[in-house]
Amino acid sequence: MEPGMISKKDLLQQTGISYGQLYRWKRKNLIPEEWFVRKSTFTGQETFFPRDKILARVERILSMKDGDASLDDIAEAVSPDLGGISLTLAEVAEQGIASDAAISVFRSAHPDAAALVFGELVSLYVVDKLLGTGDVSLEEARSVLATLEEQFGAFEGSDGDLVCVRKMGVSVCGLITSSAELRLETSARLVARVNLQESVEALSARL
Amino acid sequence: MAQNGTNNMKIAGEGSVGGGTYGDVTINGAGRVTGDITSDDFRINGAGSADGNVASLLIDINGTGSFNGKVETKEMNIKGDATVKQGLGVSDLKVKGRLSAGGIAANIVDVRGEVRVKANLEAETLTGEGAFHVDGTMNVGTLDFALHGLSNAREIGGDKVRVTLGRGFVGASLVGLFTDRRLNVETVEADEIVLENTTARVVRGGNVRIGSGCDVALVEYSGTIEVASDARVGESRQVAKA
Repeated sequence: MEPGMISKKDLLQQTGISYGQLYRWKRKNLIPEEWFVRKSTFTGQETFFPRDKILARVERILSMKDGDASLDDIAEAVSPDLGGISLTLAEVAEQGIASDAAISVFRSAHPDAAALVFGELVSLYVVDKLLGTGDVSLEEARSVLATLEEQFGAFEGSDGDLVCVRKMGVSVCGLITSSAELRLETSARLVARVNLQESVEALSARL
Repeated sequence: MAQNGTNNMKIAGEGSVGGGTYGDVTINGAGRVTGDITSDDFRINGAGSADGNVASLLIDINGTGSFNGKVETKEMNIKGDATVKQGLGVSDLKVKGRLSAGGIAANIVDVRGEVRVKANLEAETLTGEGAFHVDGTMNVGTLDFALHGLSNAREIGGDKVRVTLGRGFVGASLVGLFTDRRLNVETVEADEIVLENTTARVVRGGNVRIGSGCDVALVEYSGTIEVASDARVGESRQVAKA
């Protein structure tokens, strides 16, 4: 079996959950569709999951259930509906969602912006994360921001990764589905790869 | 339950209207809506079609309804034949006749007749008799279905899955008397499983009953198993309780 993946059967045995629970969580969107990966095995088609992600998710759902949260509450926590949220730049700085450097990148792209809606917040959060690790320059951060704002909508409801590639000092960034494998020519280097769904969750935990 | 205004619209005879926000929309005869529509009630008596997306509290079809966009509604009653090209999101769905959809996400579904789904069908409860054809996964909390025709799904999963051989003639008259009353499915996975006249590659569950007329290559169960004398099971093994 592929490393990093876990079969449905092994997942159930390891976590002690039942088929009924797994399918119910799927219906409630507690587990994203992209995590269900169908692969051919000698017994036919089987379903596999990204091991670390699914184990962390199951643990989180089970621990929330122990705290008597309803499935809808848990769904809200793991894939929050934050469509209505809006923060000013001052609030963003206050709540520590993004650093001053990231905010100034955003400000230079949108000089008149007063309030940020959720998609913009996510973009800003990702930019901040990249700047924080030192993976990208300010110039690259600008193009990351622009890319996210243009393309984020295309990945709504599915899981995407932001990738940043550099070759001979020239950088390119884009979005790909998170299950996709990326191979580059030898002289190019993958500078950063950030999962958007995780960023959304991390961000929503702070709001 | 007027929520979208009192601007009612009625087509009597034949006609078409543009999209928009309405109170009640009624098509008596043959009618067509050419854009996206939001309404309280959307009723078709005869033949109706919508080119855009439809969001309505209630959709009632007596005759034929055809939707080219997405459909979202609280309650949908079909007596006759309905086609939704894209996704159908509905809380309470009743089908008497035939429904074909790109995908269905529902709360409660009752089928007397036939349902065809190109992608996945999700419902908390699905009861009915007749036939279903789901190209993707059927993720249903409780499934209780009596077969009156040839049915198929790639995968069925949920809490309780019960598929039995239809008896009597209620559904048979709708689906056809002489078709094979059988379910063909790759995988069935649920906590409680009861199957009849089902051909499956793998059945996995807690308590499993493989009833008469079944042909299953592999059964894995963690609780109990029962196999009817005229059922064929290739291999059955007990797995550690989850």
